[in-house]
Amino acid sequence: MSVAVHPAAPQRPSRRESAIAAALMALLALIAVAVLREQKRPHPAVENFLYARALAAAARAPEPAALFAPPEGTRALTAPERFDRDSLSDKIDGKAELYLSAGFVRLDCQRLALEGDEDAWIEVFLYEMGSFENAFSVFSAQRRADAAALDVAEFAYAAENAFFFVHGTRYVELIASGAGEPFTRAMRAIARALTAERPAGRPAWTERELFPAAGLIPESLGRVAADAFGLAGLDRVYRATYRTEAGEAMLFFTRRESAAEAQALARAYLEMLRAFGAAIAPAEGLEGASRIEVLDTFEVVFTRGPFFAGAREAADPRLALDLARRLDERLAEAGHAPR
Amino acid sequence: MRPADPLNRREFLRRAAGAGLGITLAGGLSGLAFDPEGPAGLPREEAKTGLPDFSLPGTAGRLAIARGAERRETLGLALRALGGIESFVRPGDRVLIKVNAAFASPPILSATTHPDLVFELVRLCFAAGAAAVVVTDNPINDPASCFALSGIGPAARRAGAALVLPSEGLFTPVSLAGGSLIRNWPVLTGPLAGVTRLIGVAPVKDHHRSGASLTLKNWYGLLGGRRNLFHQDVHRLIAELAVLVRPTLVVLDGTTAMMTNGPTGGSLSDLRETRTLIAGTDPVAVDACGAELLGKRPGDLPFLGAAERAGAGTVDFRRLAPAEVST
Repeated sequence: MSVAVHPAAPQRPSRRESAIAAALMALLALIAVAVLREQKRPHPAVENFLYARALAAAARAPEPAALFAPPEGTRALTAPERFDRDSLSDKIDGKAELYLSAGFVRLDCQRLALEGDEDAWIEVFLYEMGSFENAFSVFSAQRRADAAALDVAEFAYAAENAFFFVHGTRYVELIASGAGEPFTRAMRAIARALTAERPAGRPAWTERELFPAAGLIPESLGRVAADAFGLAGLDRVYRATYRTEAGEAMLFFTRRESAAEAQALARAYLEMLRAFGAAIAPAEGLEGASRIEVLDTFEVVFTRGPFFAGAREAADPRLALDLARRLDERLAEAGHAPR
Repeated sequence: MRPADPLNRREFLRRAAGAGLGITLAGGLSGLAFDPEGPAGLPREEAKTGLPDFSLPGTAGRLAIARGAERRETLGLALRALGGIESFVRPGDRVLIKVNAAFASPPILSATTHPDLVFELVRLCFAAGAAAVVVTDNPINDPASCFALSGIGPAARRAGAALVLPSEGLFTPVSLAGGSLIRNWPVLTGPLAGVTRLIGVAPVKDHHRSGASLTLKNWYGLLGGRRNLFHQDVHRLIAELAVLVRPTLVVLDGTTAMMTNGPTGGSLSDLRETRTLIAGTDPVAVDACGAELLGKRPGDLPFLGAAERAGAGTVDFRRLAPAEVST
């Protein structure tokens, strides 16, 4: 018996052929799944071989020069150390992800001792983040609530035992082994030495101008590098807290590549909140915006041109609407396309 | 275009056989090229399955919460509430104390086990008749700097303990039966040789990846190799560690808790005086209790539920009727 194929009328495969083809495809799919599953598991032999090789390479690498000349009253206590994206967690363990997701390039650090006291030292952490925005992200993400003002840089604050600031594309931490005037004096000298060694002008950072000025709490200004508000893909978000007579609330915005992308992000955000039981309705008084009630707080979110923006964490829905309208006006004044 | 030749059954079977032969040959060659041992570079050693169980019969489910600002005092109180150090350490015992010396940071930052606590625990073990006390950890940073700058090394030595810094020869591959992450992974087993009691001592800390670093996360410091890979599945890893490591006793120091920016902290403003020390024989219960110092519930820390489901303890620490004492 022949399985004839007519050139003018292509032959349909028989049931048996279709079944064999389907079985083969299913087998290939199973093999692919098995390979992918196995690939996802870290193989101890491979990982430890790579790790041992990386350690050997690090041991062969020449020791870097001193980070900078220790200022008067301090001296180098330990050799400088350098960490890259692969080794950052060897220094800061679980906090590495915060930096990696914000564009971390490398970390240089070194301990300086205070002259005359072996047990008094300051560790200098220089995080090269690749851009001012990235450095500002990690600075603002870790900002301590009871921080004191510090004048060594535009974005800087002091804790009892530490200085934290952004300098150019670097996020800098100076962490002392104790608290008190000798440490503060030395940290100030180190900060001066660092900023003088590599001058950085005022960052050209236009986004902050988009926030309405009235009521803004300056130290609340921040940038979330990734997964803002628990939504994967919601990155590069600027946020600021406002204090008004009606209470406090947050304004945020993110600029996307296109209006369509901003709208897609807004839809994803609303979907996420809906899944958490949020009540969502059109916001009266701001065209196209959505009013959200979730966990006893109110939000108003909207898109304007390439921006996805809104007000969050308001105890009063009128406050959320008022702040959202003010932000929308700023975005409009800045010349961005209407929705 | 030339019309296709008719395909008869014989031709179909011939082609199918050819394809099958090709697949078989490719698979066979791949099988021959497969190296089940992986690349050379590490000594080939049979992985141990599991670690010895150091928990003591008759001490299960003991839990004490001591409140006060002075660590040595609250440790003494908590241990007395548990039946005394003599319930856990007997004359001739060889005790291993696993501290958290992860970072080369000063004690005031509370990123590592406090040296006062190390000193007092070593002292109490010797007072109970321990023949030897060893203090160890495999820190994140350079081990010598970590033990020196955290103050743990000097405190341990002052109290008479031996300090064991990690070195390559002290690690052996270990697998956890039924584990999906701890498989043939290097573990710091050298200091466990000849040990009869294992005590974990950890500070209460916020943790960027796992939500909290308490006594269960402290066992992470027994792992070697490129362990930062495990951060991608940190909750499962901690649950597996809870099954792998069965200590005699754990001590959780919440005298000062790192509330934010953990696990490294860096600022005194990351800390809060929570004036609580928790000790017990159920590390899951101890951690569930300690989580409250960070303002978290057990449900906020998925590793606790996973550890409980794996049979490592209970998150319902109140069910153990903890002894509550204060200075």
